[in-house]
Amino acid sequence: MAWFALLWIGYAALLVFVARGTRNSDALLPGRVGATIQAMAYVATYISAVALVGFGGLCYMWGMQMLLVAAGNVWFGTWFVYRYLAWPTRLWQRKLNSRTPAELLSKAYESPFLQKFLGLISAVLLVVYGSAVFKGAAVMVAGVLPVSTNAALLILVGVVGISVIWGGLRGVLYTEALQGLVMVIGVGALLVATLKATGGPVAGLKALAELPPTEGANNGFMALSSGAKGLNVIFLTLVTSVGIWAQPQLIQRHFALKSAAEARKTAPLAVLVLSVVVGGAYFASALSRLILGGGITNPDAVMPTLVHTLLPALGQQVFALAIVSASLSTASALLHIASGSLGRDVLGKHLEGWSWRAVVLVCTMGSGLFAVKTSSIIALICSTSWTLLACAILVPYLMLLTQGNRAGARAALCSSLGGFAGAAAWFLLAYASTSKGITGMAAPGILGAIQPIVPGTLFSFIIFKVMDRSGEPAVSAETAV
Amino acid sequence: MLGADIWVMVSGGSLLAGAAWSIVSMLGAGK
Repeated sequence: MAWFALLWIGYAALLVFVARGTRNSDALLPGRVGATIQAMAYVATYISAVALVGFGGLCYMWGMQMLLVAAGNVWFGTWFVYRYLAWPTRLWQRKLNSRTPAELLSKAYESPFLQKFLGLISAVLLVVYGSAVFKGAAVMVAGVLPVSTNAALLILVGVVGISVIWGGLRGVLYTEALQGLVMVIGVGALLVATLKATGGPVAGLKALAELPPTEGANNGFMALSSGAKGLNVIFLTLVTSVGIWAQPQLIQRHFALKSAAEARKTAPLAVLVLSVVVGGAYFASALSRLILGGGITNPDAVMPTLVHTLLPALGQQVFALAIVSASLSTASALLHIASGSLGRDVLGKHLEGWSWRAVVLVCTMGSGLFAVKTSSIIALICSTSWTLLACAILVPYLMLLTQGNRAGARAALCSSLGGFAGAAAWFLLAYASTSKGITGMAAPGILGAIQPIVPGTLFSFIIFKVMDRSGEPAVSAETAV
Repeated sequence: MLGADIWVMVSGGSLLAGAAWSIVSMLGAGK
């Protein structure tokens, strides 16, 4: 046990050391960062423990149809992003000298209120979302080391807070890259052990295909389910693969690009690492049904049980490190962008020295306190924040990249507000899995299974097009008199 | 194939294709 404790202490010390050793003079800008670091950091930010443990558990319940989520993440969430979005984003950011995604959109459309609005929702939603990420990591640490969950939480929040304060965006990118490497090792070890236990991939798939259908996998474990179950998998793919385009912490990753060639160079490694991490984790956990039987009812218990069954003690520790790395890399990105949003976008500060430390401290303490406190509101925000942010940012962001800023401030601001409000309304009134518990209402039939990212984004797009001023003739000095 | 429907086949195949494309791209870039 003492050796394992040393392993964890060494890991925490390495994170802080890397963050401190790679910091940049500007806490919100990354400076020069190589393609390898960018690729690893992108994947590590993208994939949290929720994706590995939570979605891994869903693979056990629903089978190989969850590979659709992994494939969507790889092709839409990563390849498409580096092929079409990353470099144009960097060009706008460089042209406008903006430090946060909210500032980028606000300066591009010349709408100061847009920066305040996007900064505020980013800070609030991501601090709360970060609390869930911290909590997941603390539970994992408490499971493998003789510490309480709250003590683990305090240590993890402290390590990430210090890394973000000392490292700024550049330090965060380097620590994430290191954590991405740990994730590859941990998931790789689990995949190898699972394939060994099931007699190889072909034998495993054949055995899985012979299992009888269940409620969650109503067409068997090698097929997309029918009805609302299958729709759920498709929406999960959509939210995690297209909703990702507009997450501020990931948009900010593109600010480190030096050239279009570097974006092209970053894509293959990011695609490969993501394929191994999510593809490997989902494949292994879908096959885990052959090893663990069908008796597990709590999806979150699947991955820990599988690891405990298959890996030796050291392997279990390495996998736990991988899960904690997945959490902390996401948490550091969330804390960094939440701090930048609060300080720069909402309060209008330059953020250096004590002002940077103060906002990071506020956001870190906020995340830590929310993690200790359990409430239905916090749980609701955690499960909706990704979609709400996507609906507020996606349309103005994509329209900026595709047609420039000629639509004007009103179109951008109203589409952002409308997308956010539309998605929030759908969560409260129509989307059965959330609305029934809050307002008791739900849209009828299959409509109630439509994820709010669809109506939210659609609403945002319609508002944008209605208010788009790009088609109007320019007002000349003579006609304006 | 292997009892998989079209969704699973396309998803799994595209994951393998992505990994293969990445390796070929990186090897090509390293030349």
